[in-house]
Parts: sequence; structure tokens; C-alpha cells
Amino acid sequence: MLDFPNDLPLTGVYRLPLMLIDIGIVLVSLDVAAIYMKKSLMSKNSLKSTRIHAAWISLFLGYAGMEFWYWLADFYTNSVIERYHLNQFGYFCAATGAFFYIYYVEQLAFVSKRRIFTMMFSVLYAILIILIFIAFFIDIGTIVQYFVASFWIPNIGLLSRYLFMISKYSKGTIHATPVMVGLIVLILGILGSTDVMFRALGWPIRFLGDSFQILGTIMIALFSSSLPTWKELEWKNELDSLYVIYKGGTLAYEYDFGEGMFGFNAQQSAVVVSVLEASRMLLNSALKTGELKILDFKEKKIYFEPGEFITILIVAKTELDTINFLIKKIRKEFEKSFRDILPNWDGESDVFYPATSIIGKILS
Amino acid sequence: MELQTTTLPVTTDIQIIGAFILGVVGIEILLIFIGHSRKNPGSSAGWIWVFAIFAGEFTVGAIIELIALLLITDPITEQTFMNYFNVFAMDIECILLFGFLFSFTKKRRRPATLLCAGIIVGYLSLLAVQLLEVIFTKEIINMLGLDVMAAFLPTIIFPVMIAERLDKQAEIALMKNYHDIIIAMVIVGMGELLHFLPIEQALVFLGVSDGIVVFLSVFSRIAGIGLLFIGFYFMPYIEDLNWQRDLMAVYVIETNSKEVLYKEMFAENIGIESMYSGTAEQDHAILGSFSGLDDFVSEVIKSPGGNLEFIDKGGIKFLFARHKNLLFVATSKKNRPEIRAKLVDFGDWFFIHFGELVKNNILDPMKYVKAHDVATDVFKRTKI
Repeated sequence: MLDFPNDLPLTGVYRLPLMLIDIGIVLVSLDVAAIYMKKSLMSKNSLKSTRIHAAWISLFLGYAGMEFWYWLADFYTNSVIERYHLNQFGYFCAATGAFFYIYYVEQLAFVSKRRIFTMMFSVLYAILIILIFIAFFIDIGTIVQYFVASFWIPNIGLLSRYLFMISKYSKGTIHATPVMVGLIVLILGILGSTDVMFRALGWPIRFLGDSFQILGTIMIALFSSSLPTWKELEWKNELDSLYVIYKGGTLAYEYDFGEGMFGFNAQQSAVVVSVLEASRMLLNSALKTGELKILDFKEKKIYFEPGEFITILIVAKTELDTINFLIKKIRKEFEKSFRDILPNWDGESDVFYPATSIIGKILS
Repeated sequence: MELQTTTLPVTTDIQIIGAFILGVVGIEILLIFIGHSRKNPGSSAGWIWVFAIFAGEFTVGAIIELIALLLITDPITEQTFMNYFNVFAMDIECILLFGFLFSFTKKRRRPATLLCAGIIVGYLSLLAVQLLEVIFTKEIINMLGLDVMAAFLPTIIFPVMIAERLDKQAEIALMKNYHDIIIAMVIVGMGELLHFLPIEQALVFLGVSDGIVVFLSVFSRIAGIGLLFIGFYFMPYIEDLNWQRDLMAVYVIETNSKEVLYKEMFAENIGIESMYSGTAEQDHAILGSFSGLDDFVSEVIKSPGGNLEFIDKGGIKFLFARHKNLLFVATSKKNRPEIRAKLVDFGDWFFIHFGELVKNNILDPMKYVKAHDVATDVFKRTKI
């Protein structure tokens, strides 16, 4: 009876199924990297989105590389030493992927401000490279294998924090939980496939571990598409200006975001919003195809939300579902709060002063 | 038959791994098409069907080969089994694709239709002879002509021909993907060629090691199918038939005079009159106002050269592209990337051909009627 992993290469009844499952893991992880690559290409005008996608791409490419070397080591080596050397290439791939993952994720300021995980991982990564280099010339036993286990600490730490922050920023409406479950399944799978577990529990745990790895990777691939883009999470940064226009085109109220639309003063803003409102009314009277919702210019998106007496106009840098939701809410709240004033408004903007706190509350 | 349990020769390992990878990636390519069809039912263009049939056959072939390699220990039996499969599966693919090719050429040129009809008749005759042989002799007969057609027409030549045609007519946004697909098909073709028994035997006869031939064949097919997956998966959009149903009209406006130089209506898609409330003059006035709005906002944000890209007016969407003082407007039921890409390409063409007229302030719409053929080609015709 074969005493794997001491007798190599792996033969017997488990050889082919395991070989194909392991190739399956490599393919599925490459697929997940491809999914994030596509997402990254589609959001190329957003540095943050690109970074977070680059993080996932490097993680899964590293993982695919690791599995490839493990596969080669298990099925095509003739001695423990050969297997051990090939495994070290696997550790190197995984560590490199994880290093870039941590580096990119920590660049997102709201995940972690001090780059603690990057620093921690850099030190571990440098030690790993040295150990791998030494292990090629001197027999240092299974030190590298055990040392790699320490990498889980910064990895799991950062992953948990990252997913927690996603849930927090998206106010619990986003499906981070299935991704988290997928990650846990994947990690359990990787742990189940280790030699330590195999020696303790035999073939069933190896099959279970490999299957968990495929399942976890597929779960991440499926559910990560439901995670919001970083633009959606950071909708506040995308807002440029907010105006309330009274029927006929008079600027009734401007919410102060600092610079205002295109950096204009109040008078210039009044002229611009009047022209935009006039355009909206012209289009509405000429085309009976529903209300004008958005004017999309290369760098600015102008959202319209008309009510009975007012139109809310938001200028933003990108088109987001969150802004569509917010503009409706702001219009409703504004109309409700000023329902006594709006029908006979005398043109005095000061009466809308309380709107600042109403809108501020919605936007916070 | 029993499952292979011991260490296999490296060539068999390579074949098993190759068949597995090809099967998995083939399924993934099929999933791309299935996902697209589920999202947009009834919208698949002919070329989608061609590649779906190709991927389907390729996938089934890989899975059957994998099962055969795993269960049949005798290589001769395994090869015979695969030959049977070729007759009954690849030939079905051939017939399906020929059917498509015939209907495709019928709409276009008579000589191509006749050639296609000739190939179909020839192919079916060969197939009938082979089937009769199977029925009466209970053995598969190697027929080089049929094998070549079964192996190369559906898997390589026909899809490459389609991809090449798509590439020629592609919008800039899709060109790179079609290039990738053509290269992928050529690489797959090389792999298939090496996998083709007479070629394999000829190379071995010339002294090339059997292992190297098997490795190169498997490697080429994996590289090719991988690139094919990349080509399809990374397409900005899969060009189906839906955009044609959504497109309502295309206009070209000279921005200084606000004159509509050219318009192409796609009234068969919708009752376009019901969308507009007024006369043609009023429509032109509205379109002219977009040009004014674009100029105004461009000036306001100090970014000359046109910024207006899209207006969502409830049931009607306006998509814009600008070339100097020409504003191209497409009205559509949905904001579709295909329409935007076509509008940009049409704009490029229009500017190249009529830029001088516009520059010389010749604004008579009669001077621009020649754009009709190109507009029809770009916006009305289904490529494949």
C-alpha cells in the first residue's frame, strides 16, 4: 500500500481523480482572476476599483500558481526532496499573490490607515524568500512548510477587516456574507489538503479539502459579483453639487459641498441651473417619453428629480444607483418639510435654510 | 473496462489532462453564450450559434475523449471508439453548420450558395457511404475525405471564416477581441492538425517522437481554447440582435447652424411618430437644442470639443458622439454600448467622407444622402 506523501509519485486508485480535481482548482482560480480582470477593465477610470480588483487578481493568480506546483509535486516527483522543492515554488507563488493582495487592499485608506498588514507581511515575505533560498542548498527539514503557516495571520486579519468594512460602508445591504462564507470554505479546504491533516485523517480529508477549495473559489466568484463597486461605496466623494430649482427655473437652494458646480459662485450657478432646467422643460414639452432623468457629459452627470413645485438637480462625477435613490429621497423630504411654503414661495431663499440639516442628515 | 489505477505513460497523462482542461474551458465558453442568451432571449445572431455549436462539439468531444482515456485501456479500442464518436457527433456539428452556412449564403451571393450546396451534397453522400459501411461491415472505415471535412470544416475553417468576416466589419471596440478569436482558432487548428491521425503518423514516420507530437497537439489546443475563452469573455459586449430592435433613429447635426444634415429612421422598430409630439421641423429644433446644450456645458466646464454623451428621457435615450462641429445623435429605447460603438464608427466614416463639405459650409441635406448606404450597412444589416 502506498504511503503517500513519503512514497512518490502518487499512484493507485486515488491518483486520477485527485489529479483532475487539483487541475480543476487551478482552472477555477484562474477563472476568478479573469472575472476580476474583466471588472478591472470595465472600471478603468476609477483608481480605487482598479486597485481592489488588482488585489483579487494577484491573490487568485498566486493561489493558482501554488496549486499548480503542488500538483506537479504530488504527481510527478520521485522523492520527498524533489516534492519539497517544488512545493517551495508553490509557497513563493502564494506568498507573492498574497503580498500584492495586502499591498493593494491596504492602499484603500478606509480599510487600514497605517499599513500594518503590509509591513507585517513584508517582513514574513522577506524571511520566506531567504528560507526558500537556503532550503535549495541545505536541508533545513520542514521549516519552510511550517513557517508558511504564519502567513495566515495577516491574511485572515486583513480579509476579515476588509469584508467587515464593505458591510459597514454599504449599510448592511450588500451581500458580503456569502463571500465571507466562500473564503472560510476555501481556507478550510486549503487546511484540509495539507500533509498534516492528510497524515492524521487520510484520503477522505484530502478529497474533502480539495472539494472545499473548488467550492469556496466558486462561491467567491459567484457572490463577489454582487459586491458593490468601490464607486458605489464612495458615492459621497462623487457628489459635486446639489440644487433645488423652483418651477420656472429659479434657483431656490444650493447645498454647500464646498466648491459647488464647476467652481462657480452663486450667481453663475443660478444662470447655469436655469439653463439646465429650461432644457429639461423644453425636452419634456417636446418629447412625451417620460421625465428627463440624466444628462451625461464626459466628466459630469446631471441628475434631475422633478416634483410638483421643485426640481432637485444633482451634479456628480459618475452615474450611480445610490445617487438615484438619494435624489428621490431628498426631493420627498424637501417637499414634505416645506409643503406650506412651496405653493406660494416669494423668491426668498433664506426660508429654505433648514434644508441644510435635512439634506445633511440624508447624505450622512 | 476498468478505471486506470496505476501510473500511466506520460503521453496518456498529457492526453487525459488535455481532454479535462479542454472540456472545462469548453463548458465555460458555452456558459458565456448560455448566460447571454438567458439575459437576452431570442436575440442570438448567427455567429453566436456558430461558435456555440463549435464550443458544444469541442466540449462533448473532450469529455468523450476523457472518458475513453480513463476507461479504455487498449489504445486501439480507444481510437476506434473515438472514430465512431467522430462520425456521430462531429458530423452532426458539420450538418448544423452547413445548414447555417447555406441560409447565410442564400441571402447574399449565388455562387457561394451553389458552392455551399455542393459541399453539403458531397458531405452527406460521403457520410451516407460511411454509415452504410458501418451498418453492413459493423466496422468503421477510415475515409480521409470525410474525416478531413468532419475535423476541419466545423472546428476550424468555418469558424475562422466567420471570425474573419466579423473582424473585418467590427467596431473599433471589438476589433481586438476578434483578432484574438482568429488567432485562437488558428492555434486550435494547428493542434487539431497534429491530433489528426494521418498527420500524427506522418510526423512519427519522419522521426518526431510520439510524445512530442501529443504534447504539442494538446498544448496548442489548450492555448487556443484558452485564448478563445479570453476573446469571448473580455468582449465589451456580445453583439446580438437586440440593439437593432432598440435603435430608433440616427441624426447628424452641424453644430454651428444647428442644421440636421442627415437622418436615418428605423421606423420598422417602433411607431416612431408616437415618440415625437411634433413635426419634422420641431424634431430638428430639439436636436439643434442638444447641440446648443452641448456647446453651453462644454464652455461652462471649459472643455471644448463636445461632452454630451447621453440623455435619459424616460422611454427614449439619446446617445451622442461628436467630431469637431458635427454632432451624431442616436435615439434608442435603451442605452446600449453596441449602438454607441456603431455611432462612433459611423461618425468617423462620415467625417472622413463629408468633412470637407461641412468645412465649406455646404449644408444641403441632399449632398449627404450618399451616407445612406453606409448607415444601412452599419445600423441595419446583421453582420452574421
